[in-house]
Amino acid sequence: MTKERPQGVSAELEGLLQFLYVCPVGLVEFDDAGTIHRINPEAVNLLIAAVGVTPFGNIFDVLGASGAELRELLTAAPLDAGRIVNEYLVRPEPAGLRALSLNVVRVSSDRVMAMITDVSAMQLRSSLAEALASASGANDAAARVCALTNVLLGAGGAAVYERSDGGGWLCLGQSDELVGGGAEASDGSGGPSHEAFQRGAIVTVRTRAEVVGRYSKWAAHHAEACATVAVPMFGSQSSEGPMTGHVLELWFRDDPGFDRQYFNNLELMASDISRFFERARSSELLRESEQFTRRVLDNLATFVGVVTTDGVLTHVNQAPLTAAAITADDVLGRKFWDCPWWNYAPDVQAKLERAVHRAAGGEIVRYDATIRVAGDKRLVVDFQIAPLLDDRGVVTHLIPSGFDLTERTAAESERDQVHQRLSQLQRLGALLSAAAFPADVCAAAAVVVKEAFAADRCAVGFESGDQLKLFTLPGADEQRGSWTTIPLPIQVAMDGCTLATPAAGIDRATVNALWGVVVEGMASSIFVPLGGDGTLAVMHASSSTLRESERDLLDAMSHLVSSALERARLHEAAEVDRAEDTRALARAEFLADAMARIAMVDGVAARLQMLVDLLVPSMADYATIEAPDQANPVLALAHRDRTLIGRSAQLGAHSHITVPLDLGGGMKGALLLELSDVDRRPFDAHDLALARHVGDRAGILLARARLYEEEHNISLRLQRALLPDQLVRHRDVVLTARHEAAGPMLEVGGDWYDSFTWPGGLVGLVVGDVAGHGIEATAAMGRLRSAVAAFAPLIGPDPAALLDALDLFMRGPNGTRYATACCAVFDPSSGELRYSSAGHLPMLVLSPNGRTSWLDDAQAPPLCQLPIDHRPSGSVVLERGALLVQYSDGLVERRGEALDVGLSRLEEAIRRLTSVGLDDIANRLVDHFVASHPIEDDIVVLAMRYDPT
Amino acid sequence: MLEVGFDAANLLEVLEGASFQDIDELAFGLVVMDRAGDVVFYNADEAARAGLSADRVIGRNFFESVGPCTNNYLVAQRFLDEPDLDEFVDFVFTLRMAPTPVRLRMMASAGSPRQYLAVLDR
Repeated sequence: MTKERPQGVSAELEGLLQFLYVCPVGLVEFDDAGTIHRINPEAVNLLIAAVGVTPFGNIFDVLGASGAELRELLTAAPLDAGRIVNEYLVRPEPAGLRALSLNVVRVSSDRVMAMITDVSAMQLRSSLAEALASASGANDAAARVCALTNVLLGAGGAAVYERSDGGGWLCLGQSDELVGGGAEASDGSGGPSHEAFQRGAIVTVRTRAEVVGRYSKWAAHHAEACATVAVPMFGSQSSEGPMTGHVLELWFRDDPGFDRQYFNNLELMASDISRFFERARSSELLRESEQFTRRVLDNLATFVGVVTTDGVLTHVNQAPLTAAAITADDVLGRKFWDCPWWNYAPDVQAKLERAVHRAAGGEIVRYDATIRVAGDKRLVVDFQIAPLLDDRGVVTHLIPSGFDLTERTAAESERDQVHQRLSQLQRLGALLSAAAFPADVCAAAAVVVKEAFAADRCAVGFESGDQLKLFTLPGADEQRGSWTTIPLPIQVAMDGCTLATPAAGIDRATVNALWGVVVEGMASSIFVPLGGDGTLAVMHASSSTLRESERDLLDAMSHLVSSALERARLHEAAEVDRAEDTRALARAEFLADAMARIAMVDGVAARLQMLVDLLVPSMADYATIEAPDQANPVLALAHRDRTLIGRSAQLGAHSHITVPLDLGGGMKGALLLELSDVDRRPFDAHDLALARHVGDRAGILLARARLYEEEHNISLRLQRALLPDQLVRHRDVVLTARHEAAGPMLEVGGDWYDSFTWPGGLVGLVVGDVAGHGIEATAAMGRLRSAVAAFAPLIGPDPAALLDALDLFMRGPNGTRYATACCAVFDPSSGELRYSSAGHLPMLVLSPNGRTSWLDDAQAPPLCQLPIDHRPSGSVVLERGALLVQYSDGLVERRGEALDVGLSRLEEAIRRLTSVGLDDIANRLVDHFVASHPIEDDIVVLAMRYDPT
Repeated sequence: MLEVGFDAANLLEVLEGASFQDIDELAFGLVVMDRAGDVVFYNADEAARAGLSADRVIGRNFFESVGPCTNNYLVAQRFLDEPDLDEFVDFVFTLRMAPTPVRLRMMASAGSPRQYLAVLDR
């Protein structure tokens, strides 16, 4: 170390030395072996920064791998060469920010000088430019920057933050070798907040406490960091106003050797990055601006033209031509309203022509016009035609212009649709609130829903207990809706009664098939289940799907209909209960009336027929009474449609009721009811109950009728047994008698007759009538006849005495309450007839000359009614050939008819029978009367002809 | 005459209380700077080593114009970053561009207006 000071002539050398000393280029002089002989401060700094060691001794060793290469280059170079190495790049290992460029020249035979420049900034910027050039978007750029800083700046991790609008920091991208470079989303709170950022200064934090405290988000990584660096990149606009821009944050595990150069490079890099983001932002703004302008132009200048005052189009811009797919030649020179935009409808043309004339008059005319564009589509424009005035105020031209209103129109249309839907909902609500019954609800819903969804068909139906009611719109007549009612299957069986409805194959599948018919011919159908067991179907003939807003509307409508249907169902149930009360009353009346009518007819068969006649058609379309164990099982039958009698009972019926019926006399049968008319409500449980009652009550009446019939038969047989087997035979008189019992259900009466003879040839004739009917009356009649037969020989041929004896008999224990009798004694030798009547109808005599006479004297009260000492008697002498007729009241008495009428009828009948033989007279009389009038009581006729030999 | 060596533990403490006269007489080189790096005093030993007279040096920034080879993170940055500093580093001075190995001791105490760079040939 010399301590000499430069003196005299060496002052120039001193100056030269100083020049080289402070030269901002690194200079190193070394020999071929690499030993450094001279080095200036800049070179020291560059090498220290680049390789991290103080350059001393051998330059090749200092430069590491690059030095070895340099040594070879130097050895290989010829000795006379001036420049040996040109811009030799030294990149220290590991690769970092630093890069040196060496130019090596041979100074002398044993000296070489290297000029060292720092090209790290160039390298950095070039790498950066390369990375950013291929970046797509800010986030990608940030990620690339971070990756680059890890390599070039030797950072352990990096992140790029962007100042967000809200004042926080948004992490655009980051790399962190400790977490594998994965991006970590930042909520902004983890970003840099140091006030130094706002001053634009690089902040270096070197203590662990500060690192951990300030960067809690990265705390785990930063805890191992020896340094973090935040590089503000605020760009040109950061100096004033709110802080914008970006921050590059780096952290280091190993000290990379921070120096001014390092920071200079960081700043360069930051400025490049910042410019990139600014450019990116600018181009983004530009792009937006261009798009905006284009939109403005596209949307606003839809239509601009010039029209002469008489309506001829002379200029037009491209937009309407393009829109309509026509050229200017197609329209220029034509009347404006004849151009393709307008000539699709005469009224549109007329309106435009009027507008042109008004504009020519100085008026600005504006309206929403619909123009035709390519593909015969329509476009709604805000159309205006305005006059162009010259400086004297004269209209020279007209300027039509139009702005596309499609969007606005669409919005208005959407708004209109919302209003329309609201009003449809309101209408539906109003209609539904007025709908009391489910049917009303269905009809109202179908009408509104069909309209609301422009449906081709709409159906609303519901199931109630035993039927499905379905309203379809449009209905069978293509306009108004129609109802379909389908009985649902029901089966009831109790106490031997069955209720089956329907029977004609209507089951669940049929019901479903009905819905299938509803959707027939429709391309799309939407079924919405409703409350109250209802279903709503919206159908379109062409395939269509509902938009979301329409689905919302359908939902809303369904809810309305559902609640209305449920309410109506409740209402209907209450009404049905009330109606059921009425029906119950009607059934009770029907039952009482039917039983009364049945009781009025006699005989089992008649009552059975009456029963079925009553049930059809009031209750059933078809009714039969059947006794399966009979040879002919159908005992009675009635059908609403008489022409159908005889066909299968099952055919066509949709509802059946079967109830057991007691036919009396131990006969079991069944009453079968059927409904075949589809319009009639099927049988229900109430009908079944009524049928059971009818069956029970009718059974009682039938049993009673059968009892009467049996008793009648017994009485009849008894009466026949008690009447005489034969009449008296006498050679001078001919006798004949006839007994006719009343109808089968009428009780046998107590009419009787008898005849006797006395010694001397006298003939006795008696006809009597015991009041009352049945076996008791018959028995009493038998006793009375026996008494007469016993008294006659004892008392002798005296009619009054015989009746007196009968009075006595009647008072005794074998008597009866009331009886009439007529007794006569005839003497054939003289022709004298003596007679006496106890309340009996007078005998009739027919003379051979045809004259009739009533033997109405010798009348006394009926037997045993009044105390009579001696009964009167009368007598008459009969001519030869005369006819005497005795009879009981059954022959002449009619209900509601005076007795005289009956007697006259008898008198007339007798006269007409003169020619008839006596044997037949009684029969003919009875037949004659029975034929003209039904028998109401027993009839007895006893006739005698006086035919002396 | 200060009896204190280059390696003395209390060197910084001594220097803080020493006069320029005392410092000038030290047996090693010593540069006294303010905290911005401008030279306040340049002792005789260092002037002789660098071949620079004190009056040419005082008032100039040491790191930028007097000893630019120290303007790096090994030396200058340490003074910049650390208010309290007392560190040794082996270095190479480029006195007259001849690489000269030296040992440096960088000293500063927080609150003091001065900082010191001591230089010893090695």
